[in-house]
Amino acid sequence: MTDVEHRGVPDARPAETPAFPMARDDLFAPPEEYARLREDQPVCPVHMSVSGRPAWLVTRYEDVKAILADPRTSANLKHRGYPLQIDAPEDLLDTIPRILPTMDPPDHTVQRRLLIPEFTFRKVEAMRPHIQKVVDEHVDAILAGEKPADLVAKLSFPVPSQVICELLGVPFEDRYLFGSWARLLAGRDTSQERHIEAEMEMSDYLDDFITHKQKNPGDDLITRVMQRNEEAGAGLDHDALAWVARVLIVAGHDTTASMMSLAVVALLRDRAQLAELRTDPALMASAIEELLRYATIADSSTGRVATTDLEIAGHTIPAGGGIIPAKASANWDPTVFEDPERLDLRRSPNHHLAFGYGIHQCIAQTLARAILDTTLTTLTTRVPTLALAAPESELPIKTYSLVHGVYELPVTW
Amino acid sequence: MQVSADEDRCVGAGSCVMSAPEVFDQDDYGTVVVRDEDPDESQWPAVAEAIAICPAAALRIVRESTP
Repeated sequence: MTDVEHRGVPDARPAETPAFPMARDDLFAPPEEYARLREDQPVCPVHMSVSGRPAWLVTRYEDVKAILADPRTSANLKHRGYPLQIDAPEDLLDTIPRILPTMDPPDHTVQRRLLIPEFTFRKVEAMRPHIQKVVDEHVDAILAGEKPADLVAKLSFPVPSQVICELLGVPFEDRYLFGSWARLLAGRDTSQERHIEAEMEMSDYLDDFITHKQKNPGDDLITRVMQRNEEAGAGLDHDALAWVARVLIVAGHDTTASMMSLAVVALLRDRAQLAELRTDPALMASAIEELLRYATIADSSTGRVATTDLEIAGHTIPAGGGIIPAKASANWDPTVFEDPERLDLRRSPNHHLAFGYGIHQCIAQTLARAILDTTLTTLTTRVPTLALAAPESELPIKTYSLVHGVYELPVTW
Repeated sequence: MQVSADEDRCVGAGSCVMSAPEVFDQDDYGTVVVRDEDPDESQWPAVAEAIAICPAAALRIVRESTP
């Protein structure tokens, strides 16, 4: 073991602890170590591969849920103890303002309230015809094109990308920029250099975009957030608004796209349940919840720092200690989900933590569900002969990505 | 059953509306609105689910006071 520089709790000996993240090289199953950890070491000291920082990995459902709801934790990724997984230099981290997923109350509460009205049930229902149109256009293009087609490039990525960009009021021709930045920024394997480059390009773009919106208000989320900001006296300045746009774009791209690809793979694997979905469209709602649980693409996205000494499952995490509540582990906890390795589209109850839990729970989850619902329903009805064009074992998995998924999904029909 | 929602805790996730749309709604701000404070027994499982999954623990059943 090489000497690793570590910051944080003095007594930890990172070289002797398991490295995090652990390999997730199955399409759906969480890293295999999690099962043993849930049994024997529910609060396990680890060290972050990228920085050597020590942290505590929490794997049982009840404990993951408790941590995510615990007001004695902070989501601040600038904290020395935060379980950082990206190779971003500290001086870069210092320059970025706090963004919604990494803010704590009371600032978090203020900012979240500016955004909540954009993602209500009614708002999302009103978007459905438009989402359907976007999906139809992309499916039309696939059906008119060559076989095999890469569903990642032709459907999973562009559909959420277009929906989010239109929601935000980003010009149509610019939407591909975001897909590319989002991919880079969410990747654990992005080099520091490329990360900085992508950061700067995106910052510049959004800076100009906010200026443009201030002068040319439109019927879009950014304009409405700006208005609400004024009315509520929330005090978000130009930079903060650019960051609001940015976090929505980055948070919504890779996640929904990955989920869509993995959902297709899971459904194609199980012809019997897929047939049930076709004959019983009312099944889609619970099917989506099960697909969310099964895939749990954002296993460790919700890093936390203990703000006081915390006790979980008989272990004490000291104040300042980093915590990794592993949502994929929680969602495959057999004491909560019977036969968690089985995809059961009718699974009920299904109180999964795929969207997180607590005050940071995914703000756009209703929109994410609507995009998934529309896409999967359209695919199952319009492309009944959809099939993989490569064996599952050959699908390139994002083994160490912050957002689990596949890089490519060749299909035919 | 008396259903109560704490608007200050609400984070607008909308999970309650998803589970029990007859009982819960969201206002224009996304904050929870209890449509039916005393829902029929047929709604109780859905209400229980809504309470369980609320990410902000904003929902609860209030004990009806004894006369």
